[in-house]
Amino acid sequence: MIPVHLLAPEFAVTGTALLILLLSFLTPRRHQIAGSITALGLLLAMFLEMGSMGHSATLLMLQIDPITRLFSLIFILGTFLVTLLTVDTFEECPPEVYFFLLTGLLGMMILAKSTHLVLTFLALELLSFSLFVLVTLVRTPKAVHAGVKFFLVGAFSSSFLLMGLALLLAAGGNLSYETVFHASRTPLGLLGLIFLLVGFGFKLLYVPFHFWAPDVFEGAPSAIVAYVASAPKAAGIAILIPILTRGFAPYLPIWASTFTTLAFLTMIAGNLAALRERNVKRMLAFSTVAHAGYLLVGFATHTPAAYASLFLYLLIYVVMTIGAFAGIVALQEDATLDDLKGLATQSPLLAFLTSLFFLSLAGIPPTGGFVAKLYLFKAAIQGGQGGLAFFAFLNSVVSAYYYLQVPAALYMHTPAGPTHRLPEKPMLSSALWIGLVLVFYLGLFPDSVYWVIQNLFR
Amino acid sequence: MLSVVIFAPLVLSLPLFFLRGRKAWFGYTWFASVVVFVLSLALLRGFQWETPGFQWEQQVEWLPTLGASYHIGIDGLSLILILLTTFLTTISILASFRYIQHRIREFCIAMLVLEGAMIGVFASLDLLLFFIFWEVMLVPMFLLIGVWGHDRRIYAAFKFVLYTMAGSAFLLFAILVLRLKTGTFDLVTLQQTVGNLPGAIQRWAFLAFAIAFAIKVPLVPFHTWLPDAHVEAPTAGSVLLAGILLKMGVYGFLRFNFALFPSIARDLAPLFMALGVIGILYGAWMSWVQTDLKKLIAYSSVAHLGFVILGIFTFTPWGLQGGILQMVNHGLSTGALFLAAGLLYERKHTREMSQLVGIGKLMPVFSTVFGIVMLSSIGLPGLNGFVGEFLILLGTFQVSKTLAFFGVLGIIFAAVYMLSMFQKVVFSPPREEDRGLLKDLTLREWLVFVPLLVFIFAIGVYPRPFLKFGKIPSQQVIERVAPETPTPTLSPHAEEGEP
Repeated sequence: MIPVHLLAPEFAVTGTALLILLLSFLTPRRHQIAGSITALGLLLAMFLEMGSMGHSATLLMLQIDPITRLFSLIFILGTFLVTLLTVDTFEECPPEVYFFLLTGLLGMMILAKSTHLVLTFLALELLSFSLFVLVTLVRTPKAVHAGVKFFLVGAFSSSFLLMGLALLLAAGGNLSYETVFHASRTPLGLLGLIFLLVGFGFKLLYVPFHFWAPDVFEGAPSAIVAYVASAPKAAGIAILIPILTRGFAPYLPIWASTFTTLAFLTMIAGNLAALRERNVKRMLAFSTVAHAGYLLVGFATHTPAAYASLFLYLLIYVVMTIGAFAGIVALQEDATLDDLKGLATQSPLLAFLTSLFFLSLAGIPPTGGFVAKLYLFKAAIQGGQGGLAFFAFLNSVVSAYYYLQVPAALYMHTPAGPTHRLPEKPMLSSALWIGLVLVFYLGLFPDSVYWVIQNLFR
Repeated sequence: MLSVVIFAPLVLSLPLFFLRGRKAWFGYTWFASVVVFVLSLALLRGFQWETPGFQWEQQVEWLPTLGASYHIGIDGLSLILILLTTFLTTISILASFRYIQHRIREFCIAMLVLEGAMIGVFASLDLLLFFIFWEVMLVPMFLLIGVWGHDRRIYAAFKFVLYTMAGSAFLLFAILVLRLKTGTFDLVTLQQTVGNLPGAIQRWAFLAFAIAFAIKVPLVPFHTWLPDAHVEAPTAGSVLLAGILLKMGVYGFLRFNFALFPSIARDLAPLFMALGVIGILYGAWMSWVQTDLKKLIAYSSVAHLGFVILGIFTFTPWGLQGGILQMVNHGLSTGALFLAAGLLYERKHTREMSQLVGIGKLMPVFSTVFGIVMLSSIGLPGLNGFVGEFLILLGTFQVSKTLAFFGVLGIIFAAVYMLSMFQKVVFSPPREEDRGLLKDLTLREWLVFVPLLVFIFAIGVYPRPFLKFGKIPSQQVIERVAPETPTPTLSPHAEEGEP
């Protein structure tokens, strides 16, 4: 008998999504209610996912074990924070926004658990299509532009994925991970894996496939960008880990040098481009690229400790990225650094919270951002990637320059125009506070989480 | 108890969120800093002056997978720097009542967080913990310079942070490499095991530590952030930058470079002594041509820290003792000079010496105080600066007569630039329009300067109790770094031929 109950979290998410769809017919104007229900549904899913943490099983094409569950938890947490953000961001927005957040989440959860490339592809498309709709949901010209660009890049990268799938199918006969990894030993299979890698490169933002991010980020509403920039990144890593570690296993030496180069280029491209940006969302887009570079350091190192640290990094990254976006949304939607000038006078508490998230992104202790880098780069040095780790340290010094621009603008400049009181946004504030607690908790006691992960990746 | 001192400022900053009004904020913060000062004085109680090793030690497991623990403890060196920290914080908060006009609550929080982090730096015995405090301290200082500073404050704040972080990148990398090679972040354990590492790793680690600390000190090729940061910072920021933050660099050398890599430190000592002397001469030269009062004081810091580095790298009892004492002296004298400059700025809103004239006539009492402070910075016998510089030069003389000669030259230059500054500012004819602006010391300003003057005289006249702090630490450095040197027949205390 199939232990269906292990899929309870997925059912919870699907159920909530359907409920929202129903609700959007009944009360199309009141998206706050839908938001609250979504948040509750996500809490339930989180609870279910944690409740059956110990069980592992293979269900049809799904591999359910603690690692994939932990990934799911990151996705749910990210979506939960974004939901809180969304409720307070939009004055007018159709309740369907939550539906698409949830379907995106479902895509990610399946993605992490999939053991078959066709399922992986479908889950990825589910995620991608949810994101396309989310980006264009508020139909400003800029958002439509962003959406079209996003869609075209997405379609383009999907074509690479499909091509890769076709080649692997030709090489192996079917597309379950086991066969595929075996097939990767043939030239045809290798070519297929490389196509997959390119396809994921677009989704994961590594050089040279990162150029689309800033335009999309700039055009879409910040709450949605917070979503695009955070949880799907973790999802990308969740599929890359099994496919690449097992699929490329025969090609380890080439693999290491490829990823070292990719990490190197991605870090520096992201950071250098971010230095010049005045628009905070574009800056964060490039910072996402830089963080993708740090994550690739983990792949280049390729040790259990590196993957465990990668996981910790993702968790912290998701929280602090959403936190940073939440702060910016709360202060001023679509802000440039000039818009933020002197806002600490007007809203001291928000400015304080936002600054802390940016300090965390810059990797200043005792925040999570520091710990994330510390564990990852320590694993890198340990795994013989000392040079790359040192380069990453220097990169985070460079990144401090642009991250600190935000606290500097908030506190050090005098306000540019007349200030006005911001309306109360209770959900948004709660997202900020949850993020803050997590960032500091993980910054001070990362071992409480790392301990668990380390044993899983052994 | 030590933990209480470290975290007291952080905890005491919390009530600020609930207080309202500038008087309440300033008054409370001053009170809090006094409490912390008193708490830090309690560390003196039962302190074993003659016992080597660390006291008030505390070790709690913190990050077992990483191998880092919350390990703190102090010896005489840490203790005197902690006392200097709490003392100068109290003074600089008191001195800011009029200077800081906006974002007062944020200022108070930043000061207290900074104080806690500074104490933490001096008390950490775990390399990772040290690094964390070292970085945490950047944030409040970044804000202090950037929010309450002068016109080019934001540029200066970024320059300060990026320079320090660049050094930190080297530092953290070296710390991690040491951790992986030896399996621990713990300073006490590392002291025993680090010697077994291959020479190349030790050399690279030494250099990486040295770069981070040299930027902080700052040694001459790394000093360019200092004039900007010191000049643009508000008075309290300048005082703490000069008084404490620069000492962290020296402290790093003493605590980590010397303790972990003694033989490399010995081999490279000539290089660092030369850099120290270059700093003395270069700082003096640059001070001489300044027209901006704070910039002059900032460059004089480069010279003074050059002396300190020269002293500690002699690896003689006198040199080390002098270096440690000179750190304190520099904190007091230069801190007081920055306070004086800040006081003039509050009245006249300029730092240009051509605008600050006739102080002697208009503010006779202040001028006297200023004169004493200035003389102590030059190193006039009977005041604190003399004792430190004299010991350093004695130590240097034993090692290299040439360097000692240049060091003495540096003292003469110091007299030249300080006295010419004093002449320009104090003994020039006053301007009529300044008469209303330049009022003499108020009661609060008395309270700021008197404690500093007390210590300036006390160390100058009777340095023995202050030398006690550095005695065991400097002996330990010598034991590790230069074990073959014959034990000196003269105790460094025996020859204080002070008037």
